[in-house]
Amino acid sequence: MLIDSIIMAVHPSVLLLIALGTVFGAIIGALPGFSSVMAISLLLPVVYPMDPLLGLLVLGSIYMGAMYGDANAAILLNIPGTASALPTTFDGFPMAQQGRAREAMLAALAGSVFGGAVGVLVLMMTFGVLAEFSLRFGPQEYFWLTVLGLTTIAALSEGNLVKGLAGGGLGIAISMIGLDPYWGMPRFTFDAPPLVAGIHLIPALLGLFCVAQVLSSLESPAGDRRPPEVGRQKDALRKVLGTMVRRWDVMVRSSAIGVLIGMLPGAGGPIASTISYNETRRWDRDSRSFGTGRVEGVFASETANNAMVGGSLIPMMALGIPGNVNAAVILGALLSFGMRPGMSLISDGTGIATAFMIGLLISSLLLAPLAYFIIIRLSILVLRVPRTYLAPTILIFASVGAYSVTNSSYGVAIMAALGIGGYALRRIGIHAAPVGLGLILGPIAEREFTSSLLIAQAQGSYWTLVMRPISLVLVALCLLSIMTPLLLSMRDRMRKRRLAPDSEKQQ
Amino acid sequence: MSRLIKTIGVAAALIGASVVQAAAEFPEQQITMIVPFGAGGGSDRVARTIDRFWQEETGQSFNFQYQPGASGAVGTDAIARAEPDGYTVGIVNLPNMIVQPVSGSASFALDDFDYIGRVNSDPMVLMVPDGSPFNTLEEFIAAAKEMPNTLTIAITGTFGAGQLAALQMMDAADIEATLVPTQGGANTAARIAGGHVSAGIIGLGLFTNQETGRALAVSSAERSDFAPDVPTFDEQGVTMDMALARVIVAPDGLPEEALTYLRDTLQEVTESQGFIEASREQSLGAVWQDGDALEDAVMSGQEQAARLLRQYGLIE
Repeated sequence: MLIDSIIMAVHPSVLLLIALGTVFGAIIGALPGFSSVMAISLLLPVVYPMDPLLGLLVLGSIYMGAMYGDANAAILLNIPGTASALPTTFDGFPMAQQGRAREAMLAALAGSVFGGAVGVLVLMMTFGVLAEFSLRFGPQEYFWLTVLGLTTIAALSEGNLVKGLAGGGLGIAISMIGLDPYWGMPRFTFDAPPLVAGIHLIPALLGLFCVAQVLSSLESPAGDRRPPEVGRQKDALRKVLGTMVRRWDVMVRSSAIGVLIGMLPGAGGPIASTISYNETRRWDRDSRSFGTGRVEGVFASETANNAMVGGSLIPMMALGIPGNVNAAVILGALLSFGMRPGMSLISDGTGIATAFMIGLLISSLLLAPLAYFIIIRLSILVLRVPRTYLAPTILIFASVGAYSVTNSSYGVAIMAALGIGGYALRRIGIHAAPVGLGLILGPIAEREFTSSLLIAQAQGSYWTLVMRPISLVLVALCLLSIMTPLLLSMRDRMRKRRLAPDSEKQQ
Repeated sequence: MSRLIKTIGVAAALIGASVVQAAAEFPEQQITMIVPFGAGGGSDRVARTIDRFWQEETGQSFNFQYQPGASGAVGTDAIARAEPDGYTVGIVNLPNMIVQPVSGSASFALDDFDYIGRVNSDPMVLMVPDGSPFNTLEEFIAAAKEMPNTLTIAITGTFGAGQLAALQMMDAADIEATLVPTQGGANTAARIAGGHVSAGIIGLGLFTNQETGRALAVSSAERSDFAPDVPTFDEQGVTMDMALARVIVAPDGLPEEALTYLRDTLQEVTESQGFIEASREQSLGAVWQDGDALEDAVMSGQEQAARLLRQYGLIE
C-alpha cells in the first residue's frame, strides 16, 4: 500500500511537475504583492482536468515553494514578500548588509527544507490525533497567541521600549481603519469612501519596509550607495550546516511551532514565524544580539513558516477544516476530484492521499538543489546592481505589487502614505518592525478578543478568558516573554554591582 | 494603467473583429468578470466554474478582475460604476449585497444594477458539536428560552447570510442568543466542532464536508439532496428563508441586445449538465433564477433584511 503510493509519487512526470511547481511557487513568493493563494487559484482551472494526484501535487508544491521564496527578498532587500517573512528581515537584512547574504540565504533555504519536511512528516504520521487537538483552540487561545506574537515588540525594541510600544500601537491603530469586525461599522475613515475598505496589509508592508528603506538610502552620500558586498563566503554552506547541527534545538522548536500554529484555522504563517523568532531569541544565551544579524533568527522564521505547510493541511485532510486559504483552495481541488476529507482518505484504497503527502515531502526536499543551483544564484545578482538603479526598480516592482492587491491606485496610495510615514518614524527612532507586527497581529487580536468577550458575557464570567488549560499556558508564556528582558537587565546590574567592588580593590 | 488596458482591449477587439467577419453582434470583445473577493475564495471558485462552461457554450472566456475589500462592498461598487456596455459583469453574494446599502458600508444602491441571473444557492444549517446536549431544534429553542442570551451561536462575519439566518431564527422562534462572529467559514466550523460555542450557522456546502458535528436544521424550503437526513426549520415549526446565493449582475442600463445575450447564455450555462455536476462536486446546488425574478427577490429581500437588522438594533 505505502509502496504503491511511493511508486506513484516518484514517477518521472510527477517529479517533473513537482519541480516546476516548486520553482514557480518560489518565484511567486519572492514577488511582493503576489501571494501563493493567487498562484494556486489561477492554476485551479488548469488542474481540474488533470489526474487527481498530479493536480494536487502541482498546487501543493507551489504552496511549498512560495513559503520559501519570500525569504530572499526579505534578506537582500528588507522587503517581506509575504507577511510570514517579516521576522526573516529582522536578522536576514543585517546579515546581508554585513556581506553575509549568502549565509543568510542558505540558512533560509536549509530552514525551509528542514521545516517543510518535518511539517509533512508530522502530517503523515499524526494526522487524526493532532487535528482533534487543534480544535481545542478557541477564540481565547487565539487571542493569547496573538498577544504572545505582539510581545515580540518588547524584545525587538530593547533599549527603547517606549518607542517600540509606540510603533506597535500605531500599527494596531492603522489596522483598525475600515469596518470593525463585529458591528461592521466604519471606523477612522474620516468620511473618505476608499478608507472603508481598510488598509490592505501587503501595500502597507511594502510602504513601511520598501519605500521607507529606499527613501532613507537616498540620504547617504553618493559614495555610500554602492550595494553591500556579496562576499565570497566560500565557507557559507559549511557554516550554515554547522549551525543547523549545533542549534538542533532551534530547528526542532521552530518546526514544532510552525506545525502547531499552522494547524489552527485563521492563525497562519505570520503568527508562526513571529512566535518562533521570539521563542528562539528568548531561549538564546545572547538574546540581545538578535536583530543585528544572528543566523538563528533566519532559521527560526523560515523553518516555522515552511513547517506550517504540513500543519495547515492536517485539519483540512482530517476534518475538512482548512488551516488557511491555501489549504482551502487545495480542499476545493480535493473535493472536485471526488475525494472526501477524513480518516477514510488514507484508507480509500487508491493511495492518492498518501502519494500526495509523499509528493509534498519530495517537493520540500527538492527545494534544496533547485534553490541552491538556480534561485539563490539568480537572487544574488540583485546585489550586484548599483543602488542608483536598484532603488527605482524596487519602487516600480513594489508599486505593481501594491496595485495588484486592490486592482486600483488605492493600493499604491496606501503604500506611498505608509512609506513616507514610515520614513518619518524611522527618523525619530521608531522602526518598521513593531509597526508591521501591530498591523499584522492587531486585527486578529481584536477579533478574537471581541469573540472571547461575547462568550464571557454569555457565560457570565470574564475568567473564561484565562481559566482554560491552554490559555493558562499561553498567558504564562506571554508573561515570561515580557519579563525576560527585564530579568536580563536586572541580572546584568547585579553582575556589575558584584564586579564593581572587585575592581575597586584592584585599584 | 486603465488607459493601457483599454488600448490593449481596443486592439484585441480590432483583431477579433477582423478575424470574425460578423462583427456587429454582441459580444465583440472579451467580457470582464469582477470578483469582489480574493482569488481562490468561494466566489472565485463559482465564477471559474461558470467560466469553464461559458467557454464550452460560446468559445469565449472571461477576463477576471479581483477587487476585494469591505466584505465585497468595494468590488460590488466597482461593478455598479463600470461602463454599462455589457462588457463588465460581476459575481456577488446574496444577502451581502442586499444588506450593504442599508448597513452604510457601501455607496451603491440595488437599482444601480441590471440583474443577469442567480446561479446557485447554499442554504444555511444550524450545527452543534458532537458532544452537544441538543439533539433537536426543539431542545435548542427550549434551552434558549430558559436561559436567554447564554447560548452562543458562531456566525461568519457581519451582515452576511449566517447573521441574517441567526436573526431570522431568533425572531421566528422568539429566543435570545449571543452571536459570535468569526472571520471565515472554516473558522466558524472549527469553533463549532471544538465546542467553543453552543452552536453555529454555516453553509450546507461546508457542513457536508465536515467529519464532526451534526446539523439540527437546514434553512431551505425542502430537505437538501446533499444532506437528506437534516430536517428543515419549517418542518420543526420555525419559518425560515435564508440562503447564501451567488448571482451575476451588471451595471444598470445595458443595451437590450447585450442584456438578452448575457441572460440567455448564463441560463444555458447554469442549466447545463456539466455545470450542475461541477457544482455538486463543490457541494453547491446549482439553481437558476432569471434576471427579472431575481430583481424582485432582491428588492423584497432588502425590506425584510432591513426590518430584522433594525429590530435587533444593528442599524438605525
